[in-house]
Amino acid sequence: MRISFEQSGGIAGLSKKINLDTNFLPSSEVQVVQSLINTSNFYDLPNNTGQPNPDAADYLRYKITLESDNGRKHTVETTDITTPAGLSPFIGYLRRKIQEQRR
Amino acid sequence: MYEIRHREQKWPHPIITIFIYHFPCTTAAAVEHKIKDGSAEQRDRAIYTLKITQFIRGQRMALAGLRGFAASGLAEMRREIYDIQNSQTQTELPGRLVRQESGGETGDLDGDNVYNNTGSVYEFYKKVFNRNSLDNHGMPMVSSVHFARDFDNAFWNGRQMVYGDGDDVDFEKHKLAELLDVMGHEMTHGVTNHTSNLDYVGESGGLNESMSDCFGVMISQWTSNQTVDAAHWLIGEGLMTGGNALRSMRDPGTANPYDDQIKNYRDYRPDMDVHTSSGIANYAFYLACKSVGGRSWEKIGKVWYIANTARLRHNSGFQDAANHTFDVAGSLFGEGSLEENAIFNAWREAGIDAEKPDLVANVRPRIIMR
Ligand SMILES: [Zn+2]
Repeated sequence: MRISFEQSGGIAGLSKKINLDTNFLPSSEVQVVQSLINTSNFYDLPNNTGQPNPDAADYLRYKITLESDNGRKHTVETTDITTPAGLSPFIGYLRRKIQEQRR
Repeated sequence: MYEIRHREQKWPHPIITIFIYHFPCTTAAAVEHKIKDGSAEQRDRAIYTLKITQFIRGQRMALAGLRGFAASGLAEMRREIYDIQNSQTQTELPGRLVRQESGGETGDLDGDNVYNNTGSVYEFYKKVFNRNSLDNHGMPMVSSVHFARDFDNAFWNGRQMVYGDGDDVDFEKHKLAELLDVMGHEMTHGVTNHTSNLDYVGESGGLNESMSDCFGVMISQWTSNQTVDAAHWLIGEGLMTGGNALRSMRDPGTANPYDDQIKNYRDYRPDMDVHTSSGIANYAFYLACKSVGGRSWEKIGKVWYIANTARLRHNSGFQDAANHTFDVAGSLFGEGSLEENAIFNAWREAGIDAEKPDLVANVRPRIIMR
């Protein structure tokens, strides 16, 4: 499975991106990823989780795309304001992967 | 005493909006009628009356800012600091209350910094502009610290401020909570919501962002009583591990290796991030302040405050901002004044020629001074 994660906006207006291929992750980590995806009901989420409160500002925007080896593909766009509770841990994991990459 | 209220934005017609504070409704309606349906001469007189009213109004506002503090003090300041305990879930905001007004220190570095910075921002708006909190009605100023884990952001969610810890990879840990201009920036988003309510997209979004930077930088300068020449004009100095600051108002686009802010309207594109296009108005504000000299909040800051709270509307763009700041400066300091010229030249450097704003919808004002 390939995962692409993009983070943009925020008070800095910075864009950061990471691409992961679970075929190259340790199997223990693959299990973690799989459970995060299951917890979020990722494939049942809409492509866009909705417009943030129009009064809000400086929130981060996220775009997650999963593509399985059999070609199943789904993209979800969300923000700090509109992220469903079940998706938060998965976004937390993906943000840590970006940090690891940039460290 | 004159008070700005966000209700103002809901009035359907700007003329009524302006007159409602000074004349009985019948008079306002009569003036509006003359402007819309009167003879050319009646129309000119009505518009002239309007201009005079605005001049008086600008002066009243400026004076109100100076008078108000002595009378009312800071008694109405209400701060609330919460700990969201590393959750990234919106529905869990604000989190656990750790400190409120007059409460003792929490021992949590970020929580105490945010408490103190909220106080400084409140004090700035109260003492300089006689504004009582974000809504001018003393609403509690709520912040949550420790949002998510190693989170490189601070934001305004439409009701409160939210702070991350920083990850020490891109943002220094604890800096977001420590920096006064970051708090000034976030709280000004709240002020903007209650006044111009600039839409957070396109040109109005860039202006919204710029208002937050302008007032953020002013609050830092005011707190250390800095002149425009002594100030560094940076937003978020020392926040980024790989750069000087988040943004530079003196030279937009040069604060860090990723900084892509623009400083001229000719480079504007509608799909830009609002933090990129905000450089246009940031630069105009900086240039105007530098050219007038002294302290940013005393003159040009006052003009920007009046523009954001009484002139701009949700869909205003950069041209509107140039027109209204130019016009407000004319009302406050006189037409042809140093301040008015400084604002005109500053916007010209940022790619916009200010014009007299069209204060009357559907009617081109033809102002004849008699
Ligand atoms: Zn902002």
